[in-house]
Amino acid sequence: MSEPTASIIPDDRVQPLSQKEFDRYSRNILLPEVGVERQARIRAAKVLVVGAGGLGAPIALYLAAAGVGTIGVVDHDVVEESNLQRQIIHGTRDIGRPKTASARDSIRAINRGVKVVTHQQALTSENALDIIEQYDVVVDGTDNFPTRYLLNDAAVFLGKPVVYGSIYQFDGQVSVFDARLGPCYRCVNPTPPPPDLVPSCAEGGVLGVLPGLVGTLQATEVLKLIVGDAEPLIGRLLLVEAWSTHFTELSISKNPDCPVCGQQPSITELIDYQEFCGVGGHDDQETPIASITATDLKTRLDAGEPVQLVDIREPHERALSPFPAAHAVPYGQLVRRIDEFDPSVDLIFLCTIGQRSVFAIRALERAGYQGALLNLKGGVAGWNQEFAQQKAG
Amino acid sequence: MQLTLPGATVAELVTALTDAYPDLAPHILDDDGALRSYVNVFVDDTDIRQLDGQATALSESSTVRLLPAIAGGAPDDRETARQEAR
Repeated sequence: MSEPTASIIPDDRVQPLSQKEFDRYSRNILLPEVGVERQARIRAAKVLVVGAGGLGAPIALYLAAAGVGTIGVVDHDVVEESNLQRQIIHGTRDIGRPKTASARDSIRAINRGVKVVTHQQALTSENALDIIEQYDVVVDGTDNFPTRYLLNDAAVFLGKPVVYGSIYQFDGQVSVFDARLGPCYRCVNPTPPPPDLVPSCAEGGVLGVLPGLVGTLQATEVLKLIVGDAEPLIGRLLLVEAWSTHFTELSISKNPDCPVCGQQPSITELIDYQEFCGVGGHDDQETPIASITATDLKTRLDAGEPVQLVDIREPHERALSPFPAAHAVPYGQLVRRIDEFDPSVDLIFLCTIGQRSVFAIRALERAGYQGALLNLKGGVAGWNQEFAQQKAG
Repeated sequence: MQLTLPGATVAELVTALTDAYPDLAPHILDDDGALRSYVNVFVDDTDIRQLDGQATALSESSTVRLLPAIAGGAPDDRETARQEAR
C-alpha cells in the first residue's frame, strides 16, 4: 500500500476554471476526490509524454480529454503502416507524417484547450534536462533501454516523477518512479540486458490492445499525481498479463546503493546511454559476432558463391515476409539439427531484424559448431529495405 | 509459464530450474552460475533484494517469479532495425 501523495502542481500556478470548463469537466468535478479546485490543477499541469507510439497514444489522448493544460510530446519518428495496429493517436492518412504532428492534431481534435508542445527529436543526454525541466511529470512510453535509463536519470536529477510503462507481446509493467518517495527505475533494474538478448516488439510482436491497457493505467497514475491525495503506484510494480488476464502487484523498494538515487551516488550527471546499454551487460570474454550486410550477401549470391542461408524465423513470420532463397530451420530446432549444417561453408542466419540471429550464433557456438557463422545485418527487414523489389506483396 | 520445483532457497530453486531446462541457463545465469543482474526475482510478490537475496528461504507454498526487463512501448520496426545495425 502506498501513502497518499501531495499534488505535484504548485498552488501558485492554479487559476480558476471558466464556466465552459465547468461544463466540459463536470464528470471529473463531480468526484469529491477531484472537485473544482483539483480540476484547475489538472489544467495547470504540464505533462511530458516521451514516445508517441503504442503507450504514448492512449496516454496523450486521455490526458487531453481529462483537461491537462500542457502536453509535451517527444518523438523523432514518422508514422508507418505497421504502427496503426496499436498507435491509435495516428490514422491511415498520417502515414509518412512526423508522429508529433499527427499526435498534436489528434490531441487538438479532442480538446482545443490543450497546449501541445511538439519535440520532434530523440531524447538525448544533451537535450533531456532542458526538455524535462519544463514539465511537472514525465510519462515513459519509450521502446528501448537507453532512453529509459536516460529518462530515469534526468528525472532523478530534476526531482520529477516518472510514470513508467513497458510492454512486450501480452505482458505489461506499470509503476511510478519518484526517487524522492521510493525507488527509481535503476533501483529495480540496475543494469540493462545485453542488446542481443533483448527481443523488441518489432521482432517478438505485441498484442495491439495491450499498450491501450498499460497506457491508460499510466494516464491514471499521472492524473493521481496531479490531483494529489491518491495512492500512486510508488514502490509497487504492476504486472499486466493479458493472455491469462492476471494483474499482479509486486513490491519493489529503493536501493540504498543505487548509483543515481542512493546514499552515495556515483552517477551525478547524464552519461552515454547507448554505451551503457551496449557495453554494460556484455560479457567481454565472448567473441564478437560476424555480420554480413544485405548488399554483400546479394553480391555473394549473385556471384553464385556457396553459402548456407538459414532462415530461423517461425512459420508465421516467414509467411509475413518470405525469403525463399533460405533454408528454413526455426530457432528452437537449430541445436538439435546441427548436423544438417556443413562447417566448411559459411552459415548465414537470417531473422526479422538481425537480433535473434545473434543469439542463434551463440547457441551454435556453445553447441560446439566449428564452421563460420554470420548474421545477416538488419535481417529480412533490412534486406527488404535495401532491395524493395524483393519485398513480398 | 508456471512450474512446480523443489528448493529450500531461491538459489536451490534456480538450480532445479536450470537442471530441468538447461537451455534457460545462459539467459538467467552468468558464467559463474550467479543470477544475471537484469533478472529480477520475486518471492510471494516481494523483490528478493528486500529479503535475503538468493538465500531467501522458501516454503512449500512459496511462489517465485523470474521477471525479465522489458523495454517495449513505441515499438517501431525501422528504428529497431537501425539500432541493431549500429
